[in-house]
Amino acid sequence: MVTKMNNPPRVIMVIIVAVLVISFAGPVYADFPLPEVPGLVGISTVTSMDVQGIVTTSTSVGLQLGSHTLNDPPLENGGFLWAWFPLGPSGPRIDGYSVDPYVISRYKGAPVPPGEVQYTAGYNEDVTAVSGSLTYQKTMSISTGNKSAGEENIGADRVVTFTGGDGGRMTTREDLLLDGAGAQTVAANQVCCPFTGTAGPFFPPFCNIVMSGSSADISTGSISTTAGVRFISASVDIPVAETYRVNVKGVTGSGGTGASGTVGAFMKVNLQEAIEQEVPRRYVTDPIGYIPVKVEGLSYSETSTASGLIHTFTKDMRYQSGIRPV
Amino acid sequence: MPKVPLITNSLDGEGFRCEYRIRCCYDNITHQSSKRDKYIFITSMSSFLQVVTGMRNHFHKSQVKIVVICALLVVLLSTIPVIAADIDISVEGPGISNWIFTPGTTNINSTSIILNVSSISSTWTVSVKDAMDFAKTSGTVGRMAESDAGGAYTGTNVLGAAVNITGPSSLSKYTGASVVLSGSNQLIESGLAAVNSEKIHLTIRQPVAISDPVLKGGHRYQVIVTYIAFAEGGPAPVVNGIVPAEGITGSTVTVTDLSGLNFLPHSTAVLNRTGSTNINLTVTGVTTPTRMTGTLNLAGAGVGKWDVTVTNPDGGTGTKPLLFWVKYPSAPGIGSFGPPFSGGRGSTMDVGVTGQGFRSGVAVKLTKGASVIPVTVTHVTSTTIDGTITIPSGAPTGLWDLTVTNNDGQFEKINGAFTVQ
Repeated sequence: MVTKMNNPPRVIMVIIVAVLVISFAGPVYADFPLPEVPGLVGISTVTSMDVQGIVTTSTSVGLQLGSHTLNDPPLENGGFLWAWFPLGPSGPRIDGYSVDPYVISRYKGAPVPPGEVQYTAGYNEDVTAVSGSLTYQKTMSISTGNKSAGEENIGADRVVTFTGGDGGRMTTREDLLLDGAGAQTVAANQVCCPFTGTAGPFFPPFCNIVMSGSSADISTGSISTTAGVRFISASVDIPVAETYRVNVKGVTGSGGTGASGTVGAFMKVNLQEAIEQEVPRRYVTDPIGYIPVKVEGLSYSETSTASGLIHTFTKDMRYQSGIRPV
Repeated sequence: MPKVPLITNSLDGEGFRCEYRIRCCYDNITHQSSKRDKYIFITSMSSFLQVVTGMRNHFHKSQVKIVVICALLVVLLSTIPVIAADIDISVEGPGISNWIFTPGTTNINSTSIILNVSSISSTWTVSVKDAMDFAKTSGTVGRMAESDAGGAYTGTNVLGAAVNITGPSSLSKYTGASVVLSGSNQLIESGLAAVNSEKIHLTIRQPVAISDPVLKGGHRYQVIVTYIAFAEGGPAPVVNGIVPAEGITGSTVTVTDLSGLNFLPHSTAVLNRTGSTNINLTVTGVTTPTRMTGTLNLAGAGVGKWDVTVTNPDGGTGTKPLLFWVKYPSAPGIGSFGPPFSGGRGSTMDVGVTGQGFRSGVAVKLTKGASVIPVTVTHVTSTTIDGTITIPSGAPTGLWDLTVTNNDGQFEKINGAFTVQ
């Protein structure tokens, strides 16, 4: 396969490491993983190609896990509903949630609603190459089991090297999604670490979406990516995470020092977090209750694009959220 | 026209004299009803206490002795109009003569003045007052003031302290009291049985201060004492109100005004209700026909509304139902309630109320307009109430009010505490 680029713009872009690490420590602002469900699923694939000609490959993964019925909004809050009258007859009624022993006793026979959490994770990859020489190496793993720190429920590692001939071209796109939404959930018995305290009996609601990925349209170049998401763990000590790393450089021995074409990488984040506000009580003997209140919204978008002769294009993006950062 | 006898008596001894004079007397009959047994008879009469001072040369530095000539009156009406009085009184006795005042002390005479009481009524009283007769100078009530030989006040010298008159208390049928004449209609004697010419010795006290005006020889001091006799036999008492109208169980309540009609000096009052022991009003102060005062000991008193009953000595009673409220120290307070939403009409659910001041026997209900959902209380502590409710199938949806009522009647209501879905 001939490696030739017709009058490529002599632009050398070096983007070295853009890292986004988002971590919310503590019990106030965080999402947290769900435990595995019975009937574990594990999928693992290894793909290896060395091709001159045309190549197309694609991967699509969607993994959804919920503590309750999926796609049945609204999410159910944890705890028992109760009404407080902090100002007595002259004030308003404040509805909140409680796991106070007295409140539980009045719902006798009913288990304490734990609160509903739902996660959706997705992974997509497409590669199309024509008129060139392509080597493709990919390891894909999917697991619905509990993961500890450093492990992933969806993981994809790939290395793609393309040397195009006349008109040779390779396009590839890869993106990763982690979408978590949780109602107020009961915190009791969910934290293993004895040193991780909880500010109250509930974890506050959250609604966080993180997307990251990359794309490339090159005539020559070598692309390596690492993608992974984690949201299933045995305890909430393990933070949920999304990691995506892309590295683009030239092909050794192809006569150039860099990749030729256009590459880009992005990360988009939208976070909404809440706190648990204690319901004011009229008497100290009244049960303690809480109301979830949204207190934070974060919208983040970062896109990096390089065109021309690309010596190095590296972008490392990490998202982590949990009550105990790792 | 009543008789007004005039008695003048001169005594020997160091040139002093004593006079007994009747200044006036009258009888006042108040017609309360057309029936004979509904009459209240009030007999009033007056006497005057007259003092003539001795010689100046009888004063000594540490103990000034003054020989006093005094007079008390014997008064008895000769005729009673229309009907015979239930009570008659007279003041008699040897009188006080040659009474020696010692300035700086309270001078006492307990043998010379005798109250003669005849009453066909079982309950009677005698009170005294200074009616300020004969143009007595204002500001001298109850006190001896200088008068001329004819008994007219001169307005010159006045003793500093008022006369004190005391009835005996040793006799079981008397409730003797010591009163200062400066008051009004003050009870000095009373009885609980009919008497016939009962002779009661009164004790007269006259404090004399060194600073009192110089009692020059030949000067004359007097005070006219009005005696008011009262016999019962009137209409039954009527209770109108009581202040305060409520009290905390376990406490002692001072009743400042048990108001009504036809109260008598020996009337009694109680809080009463079926199934409970009466709570007596310990009467303090003077009972008037329209007012009683006293204290109520509410130790162990059951909470809730009590009747107030006044009983006169002749057996007549008057009651006003549910007039006095015995309460707990505080009303119930609702802090929270749940579940705040029903499971739907026709459902039965457990509910709970938290707060303070809940008592055994507390009642809980949910209301919406005229609709009521009673809460069947299953367990009560001072801070929690457990219960169950059944939402009627026809119960209106929306917000319902929550009311918690203790068994003393105190309650608290929270609007919109519960939602029927």
